[in-house]
Amino acid sequence: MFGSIAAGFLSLLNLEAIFGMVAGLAVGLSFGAMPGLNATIGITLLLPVTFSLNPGPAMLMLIGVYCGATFAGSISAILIKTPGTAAASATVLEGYPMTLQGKAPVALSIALRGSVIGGVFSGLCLLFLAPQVAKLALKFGAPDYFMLAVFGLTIIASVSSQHLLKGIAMAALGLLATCIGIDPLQGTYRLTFGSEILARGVDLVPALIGLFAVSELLNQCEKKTMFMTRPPQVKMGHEHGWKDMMKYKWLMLRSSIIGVIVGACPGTGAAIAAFLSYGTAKSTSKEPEKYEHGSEEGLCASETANNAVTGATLIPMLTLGVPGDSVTAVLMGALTIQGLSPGSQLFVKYADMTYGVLVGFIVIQILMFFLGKLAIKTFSHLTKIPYYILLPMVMGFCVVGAYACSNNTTDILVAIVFGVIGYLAPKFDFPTTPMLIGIVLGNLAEQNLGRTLSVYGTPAILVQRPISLFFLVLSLISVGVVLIGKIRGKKVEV
Amino acid sequence: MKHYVKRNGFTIFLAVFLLGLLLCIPSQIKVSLVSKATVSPRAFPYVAAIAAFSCCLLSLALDLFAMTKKEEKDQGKEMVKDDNISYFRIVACIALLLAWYLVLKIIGFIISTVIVMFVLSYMLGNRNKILLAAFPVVFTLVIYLVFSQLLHVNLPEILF
Repeated sequence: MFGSIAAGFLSLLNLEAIFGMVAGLAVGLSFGAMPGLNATIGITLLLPVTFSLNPGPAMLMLIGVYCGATFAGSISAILIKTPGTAAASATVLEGYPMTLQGKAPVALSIALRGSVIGGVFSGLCLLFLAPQVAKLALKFGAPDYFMLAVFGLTIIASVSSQHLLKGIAMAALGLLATCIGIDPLQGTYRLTFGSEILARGVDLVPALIGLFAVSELLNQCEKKTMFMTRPPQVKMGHEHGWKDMMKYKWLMLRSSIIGVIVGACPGTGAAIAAFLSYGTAKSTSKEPEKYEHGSEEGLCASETANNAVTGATLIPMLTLGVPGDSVTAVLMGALTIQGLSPGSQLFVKYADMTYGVLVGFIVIQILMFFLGKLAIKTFSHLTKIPYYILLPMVMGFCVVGAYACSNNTTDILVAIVFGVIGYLAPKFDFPTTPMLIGIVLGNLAEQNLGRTLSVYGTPAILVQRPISLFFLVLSLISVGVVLIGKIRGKKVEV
Repeated sequence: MKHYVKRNGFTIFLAVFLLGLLLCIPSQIKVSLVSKATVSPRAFPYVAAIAAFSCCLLSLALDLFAMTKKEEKDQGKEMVKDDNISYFRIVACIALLLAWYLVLKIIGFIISTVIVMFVLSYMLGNRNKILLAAFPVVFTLVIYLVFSQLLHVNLPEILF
């Protein structure tokens, strides 16, 4: 195996591979930082370019887009409160408050370093533990996915501890939004009221664009006098170095593990990992009161986890031929175009190329550190643009991005509706993050609950399977910690 | 009571909306009599709607209980009117976005986006005539080139 790893590393020492990695990262960082664009669009754009490359550099280019975009979504999330990708939605919770406090360089440096650590960790898991992680992913059944979704939903308690009831209401609304359209289990129309628009259902990306970008536009529009004509200015220089990150080493390790486990399970995604990691960090933090007010811990947890997903999603794709999300589905298509099939053959017949990709994944994380610093310096100039130019630009990209999801103007309407909800709800102390969590987890929870009851016939299986029992216990602990915290808080007040 | 309704307007609206939705579920979601599925298609919507409705009612009840504890004269102090909010601009912005959605397929992406970018920029305080003229056109063309030419996304074109 180490021979293959060495051969793989040597295969990277050529211009084609280096070009692939750098070009992929550059496109990924650009696309991820722009709201409305994402990794899937970037990979689709570069796919024709890979036809002229050898398989190894071709895959590295596309993986570079994936990793770069996953990190870069945090840049716009931190600077202008608009996540570039769904994976960065948890980053807004801590990143933007830090920007308002003048700590944007700190936030960006934490996001970058956390992402690199998460990516390197998942790369090492991909390189050394791919078969074992694949076996663990295979053990996940419908009951386990359902309990994972339930655990994810308990994060609502963490992100809405100030207004728990309203947070639960918003999460339930998010779940309700996923029920609109066609029932995934029986194919019946639900809550469509005879409308073709509602029959299409609610997609995550337009809802995300609405809840963050459109609502921010409305928030800026409402002011008669513009207190802030520009976003909070960013003066680079006072960043966190690697030494400063050492105090979060155990947090980053835990977040990386969460990211790898969630990423290895097909159908989950970086957004789920980010929220799970964030909620877990808050539950176990010694300073939970700092969360949602610019907590470095919370930011580090979410960013480390969402990049730790990137390597892990490649594990089921490469070993089992099972794509975990739309990005890995396109990557699988790219493999097929190159004349390769996922599975054990990749690790035997094409070992040099495959191990070149696996080693290259780790090299991409290191390159991402340097290119990411450049991207941060470039995109930080966004804050010099006045709001009357910046917000229409962001709106333009977001609306077209929403339209590009499925070439349908209905997604624009969805974005507007969620934008109005995202604008009005916080004014009455309804947090919007739980709604996003509900939308992210709704389909996962419902489909797997249905499958569980169809296959096993009884919900008792949820406490009989070790993995689902593990998530059940975690869920109870997560809710318990928040409730105990609230009760203690009330006693102190009295 | 006026302050209570103002403070909980969204909650009351949400509760009424969810109650209406609960009543509509049986007519909006048909259950197949021959289906052998163990989870009815109505189950999840019912659970979500009931959970949201219950939370809204509880929140209203708790706020009412908290309000009755305070003296009437103290309640008004909490309701500080924010004079810097322009409701007209909010409604205008939402109307503009809805208009963009409606006319996008009729007059095409380029014309509709130029108009929307111009109006939006003006609403957000841009009074520089050169910027007001140049920005919508330049930006729209950039977006058009990036999405339709580079990314091959079919943006709506003018109908006539």
